[in-house]
Amino acid sequence: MTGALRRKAPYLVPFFAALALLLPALAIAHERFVRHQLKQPLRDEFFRRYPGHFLGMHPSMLRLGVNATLVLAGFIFLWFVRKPIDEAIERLVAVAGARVQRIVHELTCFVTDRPVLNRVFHAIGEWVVVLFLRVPGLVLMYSAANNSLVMPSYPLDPKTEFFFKMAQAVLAVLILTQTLLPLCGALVVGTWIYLNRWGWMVAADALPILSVAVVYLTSPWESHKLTITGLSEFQIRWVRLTLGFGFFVLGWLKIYNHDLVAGVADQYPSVRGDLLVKLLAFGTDPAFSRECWVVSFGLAEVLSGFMLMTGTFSRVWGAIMAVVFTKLMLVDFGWNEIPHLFPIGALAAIAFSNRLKGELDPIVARAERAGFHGNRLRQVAIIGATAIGLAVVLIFPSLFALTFFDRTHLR
Amino acid sequence: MSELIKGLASVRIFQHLAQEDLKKVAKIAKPKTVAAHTVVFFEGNRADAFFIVVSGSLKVYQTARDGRVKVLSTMGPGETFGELAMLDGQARSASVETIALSELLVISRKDFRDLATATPGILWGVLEGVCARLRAQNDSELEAAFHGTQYRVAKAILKLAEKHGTKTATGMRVTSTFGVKDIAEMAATTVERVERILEKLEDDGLTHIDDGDLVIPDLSALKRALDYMGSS
Repeated sequence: MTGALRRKAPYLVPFFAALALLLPALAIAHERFVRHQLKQPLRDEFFRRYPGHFLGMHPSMLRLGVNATLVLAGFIFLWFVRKPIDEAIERLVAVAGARVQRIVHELTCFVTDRPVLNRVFHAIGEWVVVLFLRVPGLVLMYSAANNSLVMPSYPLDPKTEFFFKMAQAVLAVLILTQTLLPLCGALVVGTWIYLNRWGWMVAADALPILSVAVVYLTSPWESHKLTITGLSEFQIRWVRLTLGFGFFVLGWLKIYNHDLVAGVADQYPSVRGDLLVKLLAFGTDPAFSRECWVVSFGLAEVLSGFMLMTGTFSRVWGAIMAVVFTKLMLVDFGWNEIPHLFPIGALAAIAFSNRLKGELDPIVARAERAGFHGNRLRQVAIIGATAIGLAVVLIFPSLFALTFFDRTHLR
Repeated sequence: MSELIKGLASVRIFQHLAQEDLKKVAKIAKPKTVAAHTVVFFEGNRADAFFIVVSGSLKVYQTARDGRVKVLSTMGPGETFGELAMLDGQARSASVETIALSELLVISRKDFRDLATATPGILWGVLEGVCARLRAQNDSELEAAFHGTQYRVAKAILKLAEKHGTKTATGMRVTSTFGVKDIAEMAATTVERVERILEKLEDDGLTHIDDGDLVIPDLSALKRALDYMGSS
C-alpha cells in the first residue's frame, strides 16, 4: 500500500461505513417545513418560451438577466480595480492622522478580503470558528429532539425514528466534544448522500452542510486534543467553494421551482424587502411583479453564491448573507428555523477569516501585469472584457435554458 | 538646490555618487511633509516609491494576525526606507508611521529604476542598507530567543537614546514623542510590563522621567547594565 493510499484509507473506511449504516434505513420527507401555500398562482408563460421576443424570453425576464449581468460585471470590475481605489481612499484620509488611517485601512482590508490585522477582529474570528465547528452538533441535537433528520423539513419515519435520533445524538456529541472529526466529516457526507433518497432537489437544499464536512475531513484524528480556533487557507477555500456552490445551485433552483419560493413569500411577506432583489427587478413590468420577484430573488442568490465561490468580496457577501439568514431565523420564520445557525456560522467564518484567496486572482494578476508595464488601455480592456464575459456566461445560458423546462409536474 | 544636493550626499545610498549624479537625484526627488502620527504606507500596499528622511523621526513596524505590533526600527534624518520593494517589486513588507513632523524626499519607482540603470553604483548603497537591516533583524531574533523582556526593553531605550536622543546637562533626553507604547512595540511586550521595567530602571538610577521626557543620565551605565542583563 502506498503512503498516499494509507493516508486516504482512514477517511474512506468511515465514509463507506456511514453509507452502509444509513442506506438501509427509511425515512420520509413530507414537505418543506416552512409554510409555502400560494395565495394566487404564478403565470407560467413568464417562465417559459415567449415567442416573437429576443431569445424567446419574456421582456421582463430578459431585463432581469441584463440587470443581473450588469450588477455582476460591476462587482467583478470593482474587484479588479480594488487596489487603485483602495490607494485613492488611503491618500484621501492621509491628512486625518494614524488613528483614522488605521480604521479606514482595516475597513478597506475587510471589504477587499485582505488580512485585517486587528485584535478584536482576530478574537471574533477565533470565536466564529469555534461556533462553526460546533453548530452542526447543536442543529443535530435540535433535529433529534424534534423527530427530524438534520432539518425540520425532513421528518423521521416512526419505524426508524429511534435509530436516527440516536445516530444524530451520537454524532452531535462527537462534534460538540470535537472528537474524531474526520469520522464526523464522513458521517456528514454520508448523511448528505442519504438525503438524495428524497430527490436531488432535497439534497441540493442541504449542499451548504458539506462545507463543514470539508473542515472535519481535513482535521486530525486526535482532534479532541486540539484547540481549533482557525481554519487553514485550504480549509477556508473549500468552505467558500462548497458554500458558494451550494447557494449558486439553490439560486437557480429557486427560479426552476418558482411556485415554492413564491408560496413562501406569500406566507411571509417580510422576506420580500431585499435591496439587491429590488435592484435586480429594476425596470421590469409591474404587471408581473410576483414573477419578477421570484427570478430576481433567485438571481440574487446565484450572484451571492458566485461571489463566495470565486472569492470576490467574499467577506462582504458572507457578512450580508449572515445578516439575511439571521433576519430569516429571528424575524421572518421564527424559532423553528434555528438550524439556520449553521449557514450563519459558516458565513461568519468566511467573513472573519484572514486567510482568504480569490479564484479570480490569476486574472487580476494578469491585468495588473499589463498595467505594470504602463499599458493602461490593455489593462482596462482585459478587466472590462473579463467582467462582462464572465457575467454573461454565468447568467444567460442558464436563464435561457430554464425557459425550455416545463415545471407543472412540480405542483 | 545646492542645500538639497549637500543633504543627499550624506545619505548612505548616495555616498558613492558624483556631484553630477547627485544633481540627477535632486531633480527626481519630490519633497513631502508628513504630520506627526501619520501612516506613510501600510504593510501589503503596492510599492510605488522610496523615501529619504530629511528631518523628523519615523517607526517601521509589522502587525501580527492577532493585531499585536512589533516595531522593527526607528528612523531619523539621512536614512531611507521603501527601497526593498523597489528591487523586487513586491508589496510593502512593513508599515511606516511618523512619530514627529517629518520632511521626506520621495523618488518614484520608475525614476529610481531609470536612475539605477544609469548609475549602477547606487545599487551598492541600497545593498548596504539591506544588509544592515538583515544584520539588525538577526540581532533582534537573537535577542528574542535568548534574552528576557527586561533586556529587550533596556535595549530599545538604548537604541532610542542613541538614535533620537538629545544631549543635555542632565543626560541623554528622549522626547515624549516616543511613548511607552513605542518602547513596548519595539521590545515585543506589553505597555504594563514596560512601565514596571521603567520603574525598576529608575530605582537603579539608570533612567528617569522628566517633564514627560525619558532621561538616561549615563548612557555608558545603561550599556554596562545591558551587558549584565545579557550575561545573566
